[in-house]
Amino acid sequence: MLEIVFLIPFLTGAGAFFLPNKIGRCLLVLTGAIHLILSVMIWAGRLTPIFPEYFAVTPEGLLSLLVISLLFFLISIYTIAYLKASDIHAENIFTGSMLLFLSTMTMVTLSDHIMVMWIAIEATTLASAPLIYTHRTAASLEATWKYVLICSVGIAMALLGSVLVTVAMDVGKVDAPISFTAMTDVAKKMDPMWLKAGFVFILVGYGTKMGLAPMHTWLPDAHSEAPSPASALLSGVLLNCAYLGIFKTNKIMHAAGLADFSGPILIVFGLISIMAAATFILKQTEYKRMLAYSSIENMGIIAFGTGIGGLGAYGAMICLIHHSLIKSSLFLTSGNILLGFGSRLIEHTGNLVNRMPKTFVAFFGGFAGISGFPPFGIFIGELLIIIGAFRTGNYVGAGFFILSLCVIFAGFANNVMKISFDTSDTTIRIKEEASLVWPQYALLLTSLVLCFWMPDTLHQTIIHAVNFDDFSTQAVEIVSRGGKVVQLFAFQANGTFRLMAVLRTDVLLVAACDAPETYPALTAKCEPFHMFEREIAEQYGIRPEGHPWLKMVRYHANCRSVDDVFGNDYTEDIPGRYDYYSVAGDEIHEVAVGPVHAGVIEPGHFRFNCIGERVLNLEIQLGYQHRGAEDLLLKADRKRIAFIAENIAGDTSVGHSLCHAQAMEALSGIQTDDGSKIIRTIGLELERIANHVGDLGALSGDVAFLPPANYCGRMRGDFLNMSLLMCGNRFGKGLVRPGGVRFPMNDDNRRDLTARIRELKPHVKHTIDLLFSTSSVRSRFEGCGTVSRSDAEKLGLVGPAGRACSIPYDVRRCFPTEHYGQLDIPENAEPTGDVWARAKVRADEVMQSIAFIESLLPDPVETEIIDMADMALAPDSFVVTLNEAWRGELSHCILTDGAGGILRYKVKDPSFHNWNGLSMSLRNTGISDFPLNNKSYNLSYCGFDL
Amino acid sequence: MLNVLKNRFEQGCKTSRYPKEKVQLLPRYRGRPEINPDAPSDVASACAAACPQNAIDPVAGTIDMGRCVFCGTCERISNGRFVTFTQDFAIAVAEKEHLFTKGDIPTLAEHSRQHFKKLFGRSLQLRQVSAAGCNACEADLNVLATPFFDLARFGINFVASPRHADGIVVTGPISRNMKTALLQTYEATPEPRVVIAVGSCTLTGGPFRGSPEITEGLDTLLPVDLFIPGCPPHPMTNLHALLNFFK
Repeated sequence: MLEIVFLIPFLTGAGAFFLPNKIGRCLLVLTGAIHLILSVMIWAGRLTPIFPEYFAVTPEGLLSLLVISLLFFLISIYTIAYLKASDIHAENIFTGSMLLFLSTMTMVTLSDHIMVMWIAIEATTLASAPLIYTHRTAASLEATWKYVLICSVGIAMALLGSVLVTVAMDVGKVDAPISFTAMTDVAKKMDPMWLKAGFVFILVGYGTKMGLAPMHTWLPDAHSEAPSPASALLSGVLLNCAYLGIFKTNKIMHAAGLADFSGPILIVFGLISIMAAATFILKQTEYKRMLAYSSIENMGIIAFGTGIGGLGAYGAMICLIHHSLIKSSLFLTSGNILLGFGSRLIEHTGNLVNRMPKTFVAFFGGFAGISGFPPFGIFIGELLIIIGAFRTGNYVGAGFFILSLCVIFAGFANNVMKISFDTSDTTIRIKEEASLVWPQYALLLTSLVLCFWMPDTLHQTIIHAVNFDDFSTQAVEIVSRGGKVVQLFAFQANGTFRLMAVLRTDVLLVAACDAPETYPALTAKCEPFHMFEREIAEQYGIRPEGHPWLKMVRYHANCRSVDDVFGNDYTEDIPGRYDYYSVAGDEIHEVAVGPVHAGVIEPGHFRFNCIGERVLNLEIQLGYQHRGAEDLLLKADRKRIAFIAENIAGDTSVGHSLCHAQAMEALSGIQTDDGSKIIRTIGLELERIANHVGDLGALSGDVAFLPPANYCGRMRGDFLNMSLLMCGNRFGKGLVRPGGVRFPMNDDNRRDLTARIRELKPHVKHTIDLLFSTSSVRSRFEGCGTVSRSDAEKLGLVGPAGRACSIPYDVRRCFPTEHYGQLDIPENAEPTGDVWARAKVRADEVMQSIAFIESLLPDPVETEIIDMADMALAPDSFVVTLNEAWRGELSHCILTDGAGGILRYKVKDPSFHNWNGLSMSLRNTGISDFPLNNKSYNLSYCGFDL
Repeated sequence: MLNVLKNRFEQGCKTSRYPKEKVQLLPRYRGRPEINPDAPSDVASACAAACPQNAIDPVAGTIDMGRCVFCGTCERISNGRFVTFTQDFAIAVAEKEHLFTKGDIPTLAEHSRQHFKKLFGRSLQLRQVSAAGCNACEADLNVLATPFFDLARFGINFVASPRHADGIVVTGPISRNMKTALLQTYEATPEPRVVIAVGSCTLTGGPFRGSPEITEGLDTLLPVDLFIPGCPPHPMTNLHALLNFFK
């Protein structure tokens, strides 16, 4: 019974025409209240449409509906007081039209059908025209005619545009309902030329109604001539309704991949509107007209933000809500001023601060809000739009935007100052009754509250409006241009499933969107998403259609209990039942290794397709180590989670505990002291040295050069013992905790560490020199397991594996944390991409890390020792941390819910990128070179399997 | 060649003389826990509440070394009044109940199976199975092959095939996906065979206890002969356990 929401005001409105004024007024407030209740019920998902082909609840529609409903309710209360204080002819027509107006606007927000939407928007014009003519003056008659004529011409254009959109469907031979939802789904198949034409007509048509310049000419007249409650509705919500039509069409354009066409048009219209408003506001003599031009400005801002897309679109949504709240409050306040001073001219007013102090508070608050003062929402919205514009390289647009905002502010401020503080001798005609001011206060307060506390579902409603297509198009674009995927994962919030991406260029970029049930795989266009999409498919049962390599990652059921994407039943014993890549031919043979390996190492399965000794393809299939770490991090007691995070990979304990600690510190606002930063840096570098030294020994052993193999084995132990010296654990477990470190570095420790390093350093140096200067080692390392730079980029290799393919990225240099900002981290890139390069990078890093530690030891380290800090996490927040662990970029993400609980904990070990590098290394290499290549990477099984 | 020799002299001989000479570990090392039976009950309860592994029974005054990850939180909270961690690394036990300790651990040599000593005392070949271990336990077993410990001098080796082995050494919390492979490796080892559980994860699930993806305790699947606690156990703990249980 969704339709009841606009049927009720329709019936009461029609009734009000024939009822006495008193009953009409009661009906107005009563309908407002019922409407508000019904809208909230829709928000809660209690009402479903009877005619789903015409009406639907969309996030953007719901948002507008909630705003309309709240506004109307508050305005209806104000209207009672306003009607008492002013004398209006034919009050029954006024109240009846107000209710009909509400009904038609509600219909706009709920209509999903392109024609029903058009009818509803046209109906708003008819319902609101009598409101403008309420005062029965010549000026109001002119304004009414202007409104009806210009908007009708505009709306005719929109009709043509709507028809053209349906033509685009016919030409593209698409058979689908002409609802916005259905059209967005099939947008790709629609004929782009007709669609473009349709968009232009709809933009001009609905843009007229929305007040975009140069079609705005009706707006200042209509808004200033209408009685203030009606002006508030016209400005606060009618414009949103028109915008909704543009927004939904723009969504189709995005889905059709035509964002490049629609974006610039919106930006141009937006900028023209803002600049036109700026010109007229500067020398405005009537305050209601000034407010009307400010509406044109804000509609321009919203169109500009929508055109920018991404962050800008989000900013536009925020501006839309807050403009409605603040602007309607301002129009109501202007009603008070008009009632008090009896004139619309600014020069007839003055000294509002003393004459009408309560009105002054509302007026000045509204002015601060609408001009984009923090902490009002418009500030946040405009800021986001400006950031979005700079980020998309739209510097010229951003420049005009900022300039116009300044001019508007100057003009606005000038007039507000005159009204508020100039001297005036006019006698005030009314008393400032409570009901004449508190609706405005309520509106401003709502705007303020929404800035500091956004109800989770409302927040979702807003982010929701940034759709999946935007998300995927932008993600692919950023990564195709050389950006990298740091994290891409799904999560559940308030019953809906969403995707979150963290990408990096030279900055980190984060975006979220609603997760579709299936979607065209990003990997098909852009390889670096490969593992992430498989992981999402396995964890959440969301299928990436057309993924070229859609296979299991870790063998477990998805968390939604929907059908497994891979068709597995996990009550059975699954590992090993895996659809391996196969090669056919008489001389082809397969070699299967694992999960239990010959050495003392973790389990995993390796399948080689060989021709003779030559490997054609190696497929690595892991998952045996899966312990459910991410889930356990959500469920376990808070006191346990640092321990769980630290044990995700024991050889990277410091790396993982550091990422965890930084994330928890960011969410709880705890600062760590400089001493603990130094100790953490030393801990992470010791971990790096120990592992690199051990692996250099293992590499040496694999080419049968035993002296360095033995020396490195011993020296690795010596470095592990330095961790033991620092914290009592050879792997640094228990050293790092949220808030700092658990062990001090006293002078004895420093002396002991310095002495040990001084003794060990020449041994390490000489052993490395011996290894790299031995010709038999060189001949085995060089040219073995080569990965090209372009392959490495596509696979997203990180850490030493990436640096060996001349990708110099190092988190310590690019996103420094802890003490790394003060260390000079070299690039360490090697060009050859072979075992030699990987060994060389690691050997260089060993010597550099020893030097870093030596440089940190001479000065005393003072730190506050922490244990289990009791931390309250910020609600509804997201944090991502990055550190350069010894294998490369390690990242933890935490999302919190409304109560500060952990909603999602996502871990990405560098091995998640690098295992495919090992596969690539083995292409066309002798199978006997596998151990050598494997050790040159030495990847983590448990870090991958989680 | 000269270069190789020069390095050889620089490195010198690093092999430990253990067990003939005692090995002293570094001061911050946390080995066998000792419980003060006279500690006030509120201190004991505070320790139990703070223990991330819920390893402490404040009433009985015991600590479960199988669960304990030797983080030392309890020692700090009680300021050493309830729990203290000693430098003693000889903490392996032959019976599961010996893991619940007040501080005294039965001498391992006296509780070992005599027929094992006879069979494996001079030569012991072990197959290591990592079953979802975090690579710390694995690394500290691997390190026994390096010159300092030099396990081979005692006739003990890690071998590539269970067919060549006298027993298995299991690490990790035995993930659901690794269970079959573990049991098959066990089956493939000829009898009589030894099962050694290494590390907190293998003993009780360790930090991952409570996850539906793991097994809380190897002894629920296989008969375990030797329990070596720690997160990970220090290589000296492993070495001491192997020598005392089999020699």
